[in-house]
Amino acid sequence: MKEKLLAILSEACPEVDFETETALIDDGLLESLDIVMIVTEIMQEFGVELTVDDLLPENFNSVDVLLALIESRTA
Amino acid sequence: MLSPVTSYEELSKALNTLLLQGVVINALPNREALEQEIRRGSLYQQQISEGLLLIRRRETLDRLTFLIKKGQSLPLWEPERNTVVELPFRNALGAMEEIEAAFLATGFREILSRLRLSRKGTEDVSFPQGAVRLCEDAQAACRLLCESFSPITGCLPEEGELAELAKQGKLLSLPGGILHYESSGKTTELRHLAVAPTHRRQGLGALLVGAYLNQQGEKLSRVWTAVENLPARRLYEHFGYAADGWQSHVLYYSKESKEERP
Repeated sequence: MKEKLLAILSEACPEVDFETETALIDDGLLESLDIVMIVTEIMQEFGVELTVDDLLPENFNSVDVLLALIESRTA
Repeated sequence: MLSPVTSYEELSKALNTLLLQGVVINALPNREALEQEIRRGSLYQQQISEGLLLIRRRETLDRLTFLIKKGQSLPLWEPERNTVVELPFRNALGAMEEIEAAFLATGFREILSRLRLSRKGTEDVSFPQGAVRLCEDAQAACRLLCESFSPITGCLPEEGELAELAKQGKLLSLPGGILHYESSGKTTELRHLAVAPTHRRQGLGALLVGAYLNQQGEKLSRVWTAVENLPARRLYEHFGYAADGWQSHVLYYSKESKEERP
């Protein structure tokens, strides 16, 4: 699942090293508009339903945090 | 027809339905901001088969957020009031292109093209900053910003907000000049830089930016500037800023000029 997520993220923002960055939002590496793009891809790829209330910056600070969000919706 | 949004829960259902289908969107919906607008009674919506239009209503102007289903475009649509919409994009308009064309066909015109410049943080910066101090006179700051920026595209804070920003140390000033920034985590954004016409060509802008970077220089700094504002771009480039690929087109629909058309 992590590889698939990394592929989605890298396609949205090729210049960011998602494997090592842990403060994507705090460091300003991800824009709010990137989040929208990423969310729609995640929902299609993983078949999970994320809501507008999930679009909080803290849910997008690292691959692991985002992975936890996806897993909480697929459990 | 526009209808007032009275419940965040109702609105979020509509937003979630659209999110599931995939949308092109010009601003991220933020619960806190939307609830604030709903409490003020200033948020309106228009459901269209292609998506949803959200309007934040201000005294003389409507500000538009759109969520358009992927692969579709905006239908012919007549705004009720003077309306502004911003279309941000990175590197290329992409999916926004068709939507922008639809806005232009509706009678919107582009009034501003902006680009974003970024500067990586550097430690121990020490630029000349002359007499730059923390601003304590929010009224004067408000006057200078209002004289310097368009009320439509300027994203100007109100005087009350400026007083708060001054308390937080986010306004820097010197006689004839003001700089406003926002800062969080490891990033900072230079929001407004204004120098009074009587004080231009004296290097005040450079002193203000220098003081700002002396304070915030270890953070990643960003600034949006008009594409055609070459003096500002040169100033920022002098401090190490470079275009980072983000751009935006600001489109405006004027009810008055529409009515004047034959």
